[in-house]
Amino acid sequence: MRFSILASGSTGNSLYIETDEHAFLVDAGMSGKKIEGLLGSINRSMKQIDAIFVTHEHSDHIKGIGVLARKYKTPIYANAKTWQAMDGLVGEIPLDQRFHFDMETVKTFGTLDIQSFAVSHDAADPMFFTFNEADRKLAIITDTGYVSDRMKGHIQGADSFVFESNHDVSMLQMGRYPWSIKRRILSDVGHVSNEDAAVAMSEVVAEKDTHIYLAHLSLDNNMKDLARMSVAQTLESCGIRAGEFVHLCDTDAIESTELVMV
Amino acid sequence: MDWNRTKTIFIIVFSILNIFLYFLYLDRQMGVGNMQVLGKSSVEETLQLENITYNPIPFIKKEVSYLSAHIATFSEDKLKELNDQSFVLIEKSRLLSYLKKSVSIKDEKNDYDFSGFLEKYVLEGDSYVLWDIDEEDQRAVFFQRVKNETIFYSPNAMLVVHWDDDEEITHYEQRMLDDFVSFNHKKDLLSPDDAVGSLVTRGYLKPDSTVIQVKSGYSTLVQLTETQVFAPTWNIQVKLKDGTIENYFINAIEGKVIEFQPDLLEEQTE
Repeated sequence: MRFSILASGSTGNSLYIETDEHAFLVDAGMSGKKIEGLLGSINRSMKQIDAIFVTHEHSDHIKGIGVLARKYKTPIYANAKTWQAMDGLVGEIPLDQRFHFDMETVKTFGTLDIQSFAVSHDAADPMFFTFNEADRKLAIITDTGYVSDRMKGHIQGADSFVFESNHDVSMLQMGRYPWSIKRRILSDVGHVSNEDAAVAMSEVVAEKDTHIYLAHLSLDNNMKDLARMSVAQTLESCGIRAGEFVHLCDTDAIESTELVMV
Repeated sequence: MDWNRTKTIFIIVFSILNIFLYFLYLDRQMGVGNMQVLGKSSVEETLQLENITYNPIPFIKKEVSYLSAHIATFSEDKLKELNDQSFVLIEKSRLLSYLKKSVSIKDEKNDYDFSGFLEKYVLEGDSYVLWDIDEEDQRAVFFQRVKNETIFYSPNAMLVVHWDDDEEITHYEQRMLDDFVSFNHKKDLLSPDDAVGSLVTRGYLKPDSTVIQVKSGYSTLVQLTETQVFAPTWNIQVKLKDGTIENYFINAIEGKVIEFQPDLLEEQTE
């Protein structure tokens, strides 16, 4: 199982994942053209994509869904409430391309098991996924106001994580956002801060080589260096030394990460 | 029905509508233009109206980055360099040192002069710059500098020197930062004019005052457990009508006014 984070952040999110038999996208939150370009940067093409899994209906996750679905006849998977919420946001998607992926269920594509789980975000019915192939596991969890024990149970022990590390709390508090937006981000249905993410990480990493991709960084209230530093220090205060078996990796809002094995 | 007539009426009506919409568009564009001019001139007008003196500073646009640093610990080897003083080390990073020799705070002309003291008695003393002298409390506060820029009001980058009634230094307290690293994330530096404008529009500057200096430095943006992150900061010094000097600080990337806790220095010198 290999994956690349094509883009991550409030300007658009998309993740590419492939096995020897299949290839998928999780979300398509940029224009179709951008996604084609990002796939091209890792030598892949939209024609190879077997399905797109939608986490929730916010525009930074679905912007390119309609265009790509129509152009490439790609099947789209989302839960019922997300389909309902997407109505009118993604244009017409033919019925034979609309598939349901219910919350807390597993779908199998060849050797790959995909498990959906609920997150806490201000969308209709937001969910994220873990991908399991043989004994390897990739967990994706962004767009959540907090990481509950139930979520931790789902992502526990993954070999690679794509983990939200959205903001630094003091940068957000001092920053230029209006109070209503600050309150939304800090709420239980907002986004996870660097520190809170690190505390949750410390509870789900197993004692084995683990790669954690710090994802969905706020453009205004975070920086790659700061997120890495903050997560590393919080992990250390929880008894986990970054660099030993936990490796922190960057993601980018406009550039894809290298295609790597889980 | 006379279709030719209907067509002509339609053409005329839509032509009039188009001309109207075009004028509406022009009017709006001019309105936006005027608003921009108004914004800039309103700063100048306020300065003039409130008799605030400010001479614009030449500025070359440049990119700056945030900076991180570690709280330094004083190693035993380092402490061996300290002569004629006894010291107490608190949590390895806070040095309280008492001088065994009398060192005057003034030179022959009776002016304050700490240069000899900093050089001879303080570890990396030349990286500290005098910020404030409190004659009543008999103490002077120094801020650490990095890349020739002052780090404003960081509790972990301060030196506080105390003296007695004979104007001789009795003891000092020192904290230091090290391992300075510039972040890759670069942003445009706000110009000094914009920084002063930011104070003016928020009503910080008092009438009949004079902006005497705009200096660049750093101030704490984020405090992590082991590391501090600093943002480029403008320090604007303003002289009031009665001669009092006031200091203002502006985040030199975002333009936000930074207000340090007034009791910060008190806490540091307790």
